[in-house]
Amino acid sequence: MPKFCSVLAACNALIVFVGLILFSTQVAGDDEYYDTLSSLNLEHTFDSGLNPVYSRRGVISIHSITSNNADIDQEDSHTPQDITKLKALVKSNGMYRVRIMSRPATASSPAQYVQSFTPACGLYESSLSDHIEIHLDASGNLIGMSIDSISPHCTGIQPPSRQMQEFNSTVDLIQTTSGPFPETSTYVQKIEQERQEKMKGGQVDNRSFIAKYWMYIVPLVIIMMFANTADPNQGGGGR
Amino acid sequence: MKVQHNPWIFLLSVAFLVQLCLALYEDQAGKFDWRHQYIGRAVHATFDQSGVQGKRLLLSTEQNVVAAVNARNGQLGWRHILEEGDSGRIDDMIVVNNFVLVLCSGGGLVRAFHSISGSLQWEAPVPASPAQKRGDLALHGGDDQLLVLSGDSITVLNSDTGVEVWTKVLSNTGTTDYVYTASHGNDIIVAGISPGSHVSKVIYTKKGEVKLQESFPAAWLASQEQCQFSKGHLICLSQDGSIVYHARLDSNAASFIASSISQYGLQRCQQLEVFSADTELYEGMPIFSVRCDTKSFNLFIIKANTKLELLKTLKEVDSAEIIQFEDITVLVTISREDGDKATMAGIDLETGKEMTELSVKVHFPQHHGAPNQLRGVLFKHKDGLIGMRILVISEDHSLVLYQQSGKVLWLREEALASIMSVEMVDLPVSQIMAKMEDEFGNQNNDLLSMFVRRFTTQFQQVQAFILQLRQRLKAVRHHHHHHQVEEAEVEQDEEEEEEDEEEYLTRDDFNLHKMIVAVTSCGKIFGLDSQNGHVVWRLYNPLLVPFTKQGRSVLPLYVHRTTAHFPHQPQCSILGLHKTTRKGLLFTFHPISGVAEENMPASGFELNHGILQATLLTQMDSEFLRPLVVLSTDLKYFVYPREDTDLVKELAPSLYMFSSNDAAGILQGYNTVPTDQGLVADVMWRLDLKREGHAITQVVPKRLDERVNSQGIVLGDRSVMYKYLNPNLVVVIAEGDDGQGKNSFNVYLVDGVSGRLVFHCNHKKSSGPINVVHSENWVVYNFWNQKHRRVELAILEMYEGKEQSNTTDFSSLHPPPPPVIMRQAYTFPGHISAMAATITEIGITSKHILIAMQNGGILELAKAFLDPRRPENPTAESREEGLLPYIPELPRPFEATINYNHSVYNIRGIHTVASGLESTCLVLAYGLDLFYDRVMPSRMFDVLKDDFDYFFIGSVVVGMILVSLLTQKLAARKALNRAWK
Repeated sequence: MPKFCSVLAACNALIVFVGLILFSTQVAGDDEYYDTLSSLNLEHTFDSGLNPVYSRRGVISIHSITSNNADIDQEDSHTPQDITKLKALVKSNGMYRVRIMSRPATASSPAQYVQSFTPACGLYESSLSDHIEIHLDASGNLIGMSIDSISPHCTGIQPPSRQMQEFNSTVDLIQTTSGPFPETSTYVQKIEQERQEKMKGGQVDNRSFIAKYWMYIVPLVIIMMFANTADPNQGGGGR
Repeated sequence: MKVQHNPWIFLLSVAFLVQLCLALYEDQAGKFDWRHQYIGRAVHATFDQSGVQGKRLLLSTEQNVVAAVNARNGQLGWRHILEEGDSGRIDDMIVVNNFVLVLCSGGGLVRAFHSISGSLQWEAPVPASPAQKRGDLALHGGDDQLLVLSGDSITVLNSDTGVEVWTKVLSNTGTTDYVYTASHGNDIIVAGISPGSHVSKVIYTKKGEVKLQESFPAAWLASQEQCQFSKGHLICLSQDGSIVYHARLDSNAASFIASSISQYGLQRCQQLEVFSADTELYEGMPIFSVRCDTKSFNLFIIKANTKLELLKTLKEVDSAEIIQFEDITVLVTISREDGDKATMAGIDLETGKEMTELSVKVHFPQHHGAPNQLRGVLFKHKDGLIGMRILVISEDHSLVLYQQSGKVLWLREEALASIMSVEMVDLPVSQIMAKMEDEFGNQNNDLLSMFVRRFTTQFQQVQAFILQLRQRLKAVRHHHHHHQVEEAEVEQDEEEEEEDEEEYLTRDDFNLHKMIVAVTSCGKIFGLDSQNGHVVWRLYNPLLVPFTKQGRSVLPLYVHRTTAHFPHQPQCSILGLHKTTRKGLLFTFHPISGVAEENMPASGFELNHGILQATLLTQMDSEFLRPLVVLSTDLKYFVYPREDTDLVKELAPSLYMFSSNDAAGILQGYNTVPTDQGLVADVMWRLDLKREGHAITQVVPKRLDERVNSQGIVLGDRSVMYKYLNPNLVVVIAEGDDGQGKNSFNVYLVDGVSGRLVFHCNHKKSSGPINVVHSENWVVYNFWNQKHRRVELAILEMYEGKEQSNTTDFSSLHPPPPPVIMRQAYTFPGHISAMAATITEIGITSKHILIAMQNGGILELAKAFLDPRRPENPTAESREEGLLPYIPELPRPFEATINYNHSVYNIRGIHTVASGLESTCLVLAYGLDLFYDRVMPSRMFDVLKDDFDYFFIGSVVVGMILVSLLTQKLAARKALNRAWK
């Protein structure tokens, strides 16, 4: 796209302008690759049971939804005590939970979160490697998330604790697609095209209908003749 | 070349169509299918006064139906189904001069139907009223004119032609609800109520001029339900039930006259009811009744001098009606008694004496609940005696017509027009078979005792067989005998029929005969014979009411144990709310006999809280019972039966549930945590589906009883594409308008255990009603496209790809990679009211989709038409796979309508169930009407046809054997001869 623009700045301006008109929340071009559209606070808990206490894990920065570009900053995500808690959670076959605020609290309603979980053992055995999916609707609002550890099945291995320093995460953005719709226009085009081809073909092949399809018609006629001759006999039987 | 290919494609598609069309032969109609037509809960009912008196009953119902029912046999004379929803709501009905006049004030129409033929005579537009305002109809000027009160206006129509005479807009409609209109001499009275303030009235002259407009105070009046209007009088009952207020509206300077009821020794009165008695004696004098101190029935009259007079006090009356005949006025009452009986009594109002010829004990079963309305006609027999016919409309929506002798002439179970949920339960095996199974069920391995048991059971079987044979022979003889004997033995006959019934209600070879258990909105439960739809048993629990889920009321039915676990009896239960406490209520019963569970309280097990979610576990307990787990609103689990709580505790680590907060758009999932206070749900995942104006309207899981035997589909290049078969997948639909009048909806595919969003898409400028079918690895849904103004059907199909991640077991916590979602959409020529997929026992028969359309047809559409892989440009590979080329419009062949000319209307659901034959699926469509049929999606491949030529095949086989024997002989002889040479 930039090759149509002589001056880079002008191009930027144009793109931003178009972006403003079309989607006020979306980033239009590659030039703004590292601008942050929005950032989401990821919280997690190693507690089990009712009313767990969530703590900050990191920040997910969304750069572009259309090109699935987001990264996660999770320094100081956990303390060594948390790892002890995680081990306890693994032992009790518990779940590790994460959440992100989707709607801040208002006067009438409390803050709303989207939340997900994964078996703690998978996270532990994969040395805190996980994959996070962020689901967004058509206008970019957060609707849900899911978390998966890299190793799906627990084998009971004990990874060295020095690998437990930091989370190793990948983030994917998934936006609502538009639903299927009947392909009427393409179908009409196809029919039109076929009709035109037929017309073209019709000029070449202008034999009569019978001349063209005699091989279908003759058997049909024979069958019908047989059927007709068979019928009067049946009728006679009935009388 | 391409041109030459075309006829082949044409022939191919014709061949496909021919194969996919499943039509019915004329003689097959009604052989396996049946249809029942209903009208719904009657609100207005009148005996037709024209022609022969009392020949016809004219009714209008809550389900927006106007109908005529033959009073002799209860059959439908004619029926008109008006618009669904508020626009067809019938506010009032009047019968005059062979016309049935109905007011649909929501739709702003007055309609006149001919009472004999049912044809629409005229239709007149009137101003429409909003949903909460009810209109009123009245006659004026010697029945020539019709007064219509609707939408803040009073309209006068010619009652013969529907032509408008005049219309006037009422004033002060913001504060006053005008609810009554009546004719008084030449004047027209319109009355309205301002709750807590005053009553307004307007008197118009014949020509529509305001003659008088005034209001008078009524601060004690809280709602219009306290008042009734009769003969120009407004009669109200104070909220504490101690004072009756009445006011004459036809006079100047009207005001309420208060009369304390305590002077008649009455307290705590309620249920004000007015009666119409138009004989000379009561002219201008309204008669009304109040119920005081629970059941006592007190009839009052307002005399011409505005004095209140107590006409009659009766004890324990459930319902009453005043019937006039010639010069007598009779008060007819019905009161329930213990044990399926009720007393009907007739009292001559003038003398106050009971008319013995009209008083009779009638059969009135408990399952009808309380009688709500009485309608009757009196007539004179040839010998001069007075006869009567009484219609009783009961709490359970049933209509019963009694003759004077107390005999039930007919009964209509109108509750069946409002079925909430349905299950088809297998019938038990016959006794002989059951004994055999009993033997296998025993786990005692002692050889000798097993031998003895085997010997005794087989001896018993022989014994039972002989007995049965003897009974049958006897029965045949008995029946011959019966022909000569008169009605005296009818009762005995009935008994015998019952015996036959028991024998009859056993499983057939192919398990095609089932018991349909239907739960209706009024809390009445029916057992219907699937062969003819006859009611086998009924149960009524008046306290059971539906609860709301995704904006619609539901009353789910669960099958805890089927008949497959002899000697354990089958068991079903219904989950609803308690009518008064609004807490959960579980009602358990035997689905074949219709007997309520023995150790259950009469009204059912009451829960401590409301219901958030409920599910049947797939695991069975030691008695083959699948426990029901109910998640209550305080996030605690209730397990039924109680003894299975330990089993659920064991399963707790793998028990996940989810619930939806529909208005807030929150979907959240829970796991199960055992605590000191029992099992508690803990939030594990949450989705925030809230968008501007959107609400969750549907949550559709997969059927638990569905089996999928093909793990993938074979592609044209001989590779396999594996299906994504997640049993926990749920389809969630959120719809609404986004503030700017543009409707849209979103489809979410959510894993119900992990809360993972598998797929989501949105449809802009589209709205409901949406019906979703979720089966195997696909989802089909329909919606209305507002932009193109057409019904569209969309399909989503999920595939794992060319490799299967886990062939043996599926776990939502360790999911396979996200599936490939294939999708396609089509336009559908018609409006869809319900959809369902066929289901078969093993799941190898191809799937068809049953579509109930608004025009009354039920279409059987092959799933092959709804395949997202239908190519736009067919290739050799796609042709080899048998994929139909993509055509945007779905076909609607008339021969694929399974209910041929038996149209069924307002269908709300289609229930499909597998039979013992893999080819056959049983279908019940329910709504206002019921329709039952068998469908064979891949045709009848496992049963010989009716006209199969056994003789021909047999003779060919015998002939072949003979020929082979002969040739063998001949060959041997030839070989011998050759050897000699």
